[in-house]
Amino acid sequence: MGVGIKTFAGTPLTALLCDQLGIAMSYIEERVQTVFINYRAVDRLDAIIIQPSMIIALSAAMPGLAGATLRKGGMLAGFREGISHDPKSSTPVDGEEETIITLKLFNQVAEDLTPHLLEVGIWVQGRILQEALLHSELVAEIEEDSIQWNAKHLTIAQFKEILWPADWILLQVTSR
Amino acid sequence: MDKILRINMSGTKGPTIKTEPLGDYTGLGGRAMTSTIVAKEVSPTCHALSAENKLVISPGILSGTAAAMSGRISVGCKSPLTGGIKESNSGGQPSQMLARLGYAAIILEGKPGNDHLYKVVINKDGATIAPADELKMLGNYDVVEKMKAAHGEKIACISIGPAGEMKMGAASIAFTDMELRPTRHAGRGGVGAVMGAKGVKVIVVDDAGTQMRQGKNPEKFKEANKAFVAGLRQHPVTGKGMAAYGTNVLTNVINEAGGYPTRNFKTGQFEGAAKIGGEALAKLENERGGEGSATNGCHRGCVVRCSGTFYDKNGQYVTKQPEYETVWAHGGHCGIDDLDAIAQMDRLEDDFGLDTIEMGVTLGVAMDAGLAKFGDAKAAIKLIKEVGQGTPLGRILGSGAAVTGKVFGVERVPVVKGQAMPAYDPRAVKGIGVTYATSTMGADHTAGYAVTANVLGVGGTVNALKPEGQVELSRNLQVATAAVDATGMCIFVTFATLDIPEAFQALLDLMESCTGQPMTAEKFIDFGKRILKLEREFNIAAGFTKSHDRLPEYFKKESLTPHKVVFDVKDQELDQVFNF
Repeated sequence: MGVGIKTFAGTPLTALLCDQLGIAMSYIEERVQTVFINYRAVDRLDAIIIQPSMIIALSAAMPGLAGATLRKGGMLAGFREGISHDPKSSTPVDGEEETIITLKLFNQVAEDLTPHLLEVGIWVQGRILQEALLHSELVAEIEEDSIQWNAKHLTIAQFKEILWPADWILLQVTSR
Repeated sequence: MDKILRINMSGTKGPTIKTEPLGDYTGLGGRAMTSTIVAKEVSPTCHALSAENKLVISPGILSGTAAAMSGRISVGCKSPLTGGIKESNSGGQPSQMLARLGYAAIILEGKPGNDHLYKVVINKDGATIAPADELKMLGNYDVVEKMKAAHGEKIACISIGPAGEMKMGAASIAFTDMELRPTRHAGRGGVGAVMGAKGVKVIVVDDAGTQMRQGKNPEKFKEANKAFVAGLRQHPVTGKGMAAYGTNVLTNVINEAGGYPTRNFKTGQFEGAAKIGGEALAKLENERGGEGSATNGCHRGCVVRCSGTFYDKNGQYVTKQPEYETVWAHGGHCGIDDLDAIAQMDRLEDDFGLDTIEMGVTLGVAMDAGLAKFGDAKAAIKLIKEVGQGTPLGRILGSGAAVTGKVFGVERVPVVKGQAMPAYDPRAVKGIGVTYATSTMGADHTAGYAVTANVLGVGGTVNALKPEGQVELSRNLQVATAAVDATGMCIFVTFATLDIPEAFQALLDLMESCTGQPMTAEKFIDFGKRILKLEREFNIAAGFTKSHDRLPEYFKKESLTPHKVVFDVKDQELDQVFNF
């Protein structure tokens, strides 16, 4: 499903990942070996310009012939020519249009980057966040009187009953 | 490995056993051995279940040595599923143990003139064969338990389940793992049916009193193995990713690429993929715990450890960690997003002795025929049980996807040469489609895994971005894979050899120092070409033509979402794959 990242259309992908989200370029180059933009396999990250509502997926190197085929800039890239991302489709965007793109992290990359991204902050649609929180192990760990909702204290029971807005919500983990 | 065990099941006084020197087969192992023997000794036009067919089981050239990852074993015969030559390989313990006993191959030939079922026991004193009718129609798990009781826990078993006895086209041969469970299978092509036709239920291997095989040049061998292991550990796939998530890590990524065949190849994305992917599977296994839960090897000497063990919510053992293809075949292909149900199906099929790819694909075809609804795990489990029980419906399903499609009038049947396609839609990744279409084995995802001419620096370079590049790449991959399949090396070593030239050189050095024969990249490729040519010639003599090197027509007509792509590699290009 992925999470939302608020950014500006026209931003280079590498700038989003490195400058805005604070991911080291060496990590992107070495660990992130499989990248998709709108379900299409990417060969050159530096050629990608953020478009409105783009879907970006990051993964480590994958096994098998298919895994090798999907790797960025790999020798077998020709095998999946029909589903490769065309850099020419990343057109320059006029002005600075704010957009929320979807970022999906898989496997080792998710394990490595999730804590950091939660600190930076991610955007999640309200109902989805509510569903995820109420079905996670976190609910059992919430202490009574620790919940504030729009500056009002809520009990756990009230928290579970409240209807969250459907719109995007910024989720940021500020301490552990 | 200096001898061949030949068991003739046709003897008038019962089966006869002969131990022979290697003769013309000297220097061969694995797929090179099985395909050479089948090509030389089996009539291509014989019926696959007849006395004229032979079942050949051969450890890889490096098996039984200290070489890491060298525990693969090949099974060869004329396939009852494809009608062509077959090499199906497996992990597990028997390869290393047979090699240490000195056997480069076991050949089962002829056919018993009675209804007896036999047990073969191989140890340092030789081999024996005796009737074992008490094992009739037992599942692989029960067979192994009985062998443990009779021969102790330090054995390994090669066995068939009821599917093999019923000579079904989807029948596999089981090889026991490190925990002495029948979880590793030579699955593809119905090799279990050929073992069933020979009347052999189980081969017990006991290597007590033997020692690890030594290379001809032990010092160079040791150095090469060290470099090889370093290459595997250094590589991002074999070093870490595979151990953490297993092969099922591919689910989410192939799904993201839009190449995950869903509900019998109707679309390229499955909405339930995240629930059954490697990440979810590893999380579940880690939560449930248990020995070898999320990370385990399938044989001793494995440094990648891409497997694991699946326990139910009560901590009871169910099966080994289901692999990507198994999860896909019973998951997205059937619209099922329940890992417990998928593990249960894997267990049933291992026990009945069935290829999980063939059976999973068959279930999807059966769902298209209306025998069950997509997503109905209970119905799918019931259908698998019908196969194990050998009901009339079960016999049809156990014959594989092609037969099931024909019987129930389904047009969308994803097979090539009668063998079900694995877990990658050829419309999205067309290079894999080229391999599916032209492989000597039928649709096979392992036929083109390995190193390319570009990496080896031989045979010129390939421009993969040109249309003809796909054909050239597929050819090179098939050639190199045939050679790797002869070594006994797990196909996953190719990730490291693909990316790290030193690791590939170490593999060549391992071969050279083990056999004492010079081995260069050119020789390695020539070796692979010889194997493929033998296989191709066998298939042509069996009646295969260019028309068999094609994907089903609907892949050219029905576009795959989300990318709206069809398989459009021209027939003339496919016909170029074997121009070498």
